[in-house]
Amino acid sequence: MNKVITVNLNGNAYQVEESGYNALDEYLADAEAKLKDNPDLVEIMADLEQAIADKCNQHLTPNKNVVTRSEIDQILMEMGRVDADAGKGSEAESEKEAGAEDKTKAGTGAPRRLYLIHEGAMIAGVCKGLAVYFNIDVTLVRLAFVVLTIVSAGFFALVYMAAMIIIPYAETSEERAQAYGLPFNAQELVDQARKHYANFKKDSEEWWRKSGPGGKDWKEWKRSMRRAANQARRTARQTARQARWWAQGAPPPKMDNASQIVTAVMLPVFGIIIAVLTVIFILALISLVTTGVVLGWPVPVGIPLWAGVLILVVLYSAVIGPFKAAFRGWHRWEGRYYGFPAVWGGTVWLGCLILGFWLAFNYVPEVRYFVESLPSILNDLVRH
Amino acid sequence: MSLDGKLGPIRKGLLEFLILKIISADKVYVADMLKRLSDTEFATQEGTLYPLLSKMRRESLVDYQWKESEAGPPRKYYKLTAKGKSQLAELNEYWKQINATIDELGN
Repeated sequence: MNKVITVNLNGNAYQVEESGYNALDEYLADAEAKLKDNPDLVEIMADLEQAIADKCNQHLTPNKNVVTRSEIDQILMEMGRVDADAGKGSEAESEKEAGAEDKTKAGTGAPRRLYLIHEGAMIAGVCKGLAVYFNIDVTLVRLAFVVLTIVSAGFFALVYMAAMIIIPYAETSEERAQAYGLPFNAQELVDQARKHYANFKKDSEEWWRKSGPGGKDWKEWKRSMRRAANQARRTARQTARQARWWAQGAPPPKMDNASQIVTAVMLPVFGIIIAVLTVIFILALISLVTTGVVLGWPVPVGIPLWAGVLILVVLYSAVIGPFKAAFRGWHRWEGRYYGFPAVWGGTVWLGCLILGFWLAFNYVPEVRYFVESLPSILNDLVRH
Repeated sequence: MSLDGKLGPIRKGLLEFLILKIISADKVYVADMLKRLSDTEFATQEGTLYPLLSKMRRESLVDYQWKESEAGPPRKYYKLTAKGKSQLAELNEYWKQINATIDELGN
């Protein structure tokens, strides 16, 4: 009788004899160690796990649901030790080549990702991020945003705010590199759009075929959920790696007790200031949208709602900018971005924000009224 | 050095060439590639092929798309990029040259 361990191979569960599990674990750890400098580590690991899972499937039948030690040994022999050199090859050479062609390519072959970029930003870096992502001049993007805002009667100011909240800020240099990523040109964009359209067309046709009686929708759905879960797992791993990378980055400056206490005191202070300013900003926004009056100040005649919103956003960003910078500065004092200061500062900040909203909701009738009428207001804005 | 010790690096160096050739003939899954090579001198394994393919993708020689399979999760379905095609053409040309040179020197 042998003990059995359940393992998760790229999102599927397999039951493996304990000694087989040890061999498997050793194989994967060895693979990970050999590929630790490979930019595609996560992807290759997922591929390997999937290949092992496929081979396990061949050894399983409805009446046999455990993979034995000897079968694992055979599977691992078929897989072969991971050859780190195969993934390196002429990497150094090709990097040189890439560097000569285009500096922004630099090493990481990963596609670029959309980030807010604070360096050279006017407000929150949305336009700058978009400009970098599409490799066009930032002035053009800003112009487009202003024109679109005017044409859409302010709707794009909301889009901007939404983007500000949704798009992450490129914090580490790795993320900044990702923001600049691979060169992105119009031809690729057109190709991609064409490809996506073709896929979409194919998918929707298939969907129609499958959603008939006895369709395979359910299976499809399950599969897509599994894929999403895999993706999430991969992202989580990536994040962990990034955190590790960051932790190993710049060595933290030594802090004595006195400055640690100062940090612990000052962080929440800045956090509270930012939270209070944010609450005031949101209250001002609410009163502007609902009553046309900003905290007791009537908006001058002739300024449309969207312009008022835009001005408010700019003002808020200008006021809060220095505080946010100081807040970030204190974080960095510890030499790291995460850990105690981030948790402490973040908790206080969140607490103040929630408290502020709770107070506003209960004691400012305008706020309650606004929250309750939010759906119809949004409707109006869109219809404008 | 044994004969195999000398032939090993040659095979290793040519593997990428052969992978380009296999993918150029038809879009393929990794399992297909392994199968095509399994009966040849170039038989290889996942442990070698996956890192190699990821490197080739980084060099934009190959690209893949996810494709639903009959049983199990979606698979990567590989194809050559324009750069991959032109590199394959160059390698083919070079290979012919090498063969010609070797034949010539033998005579």
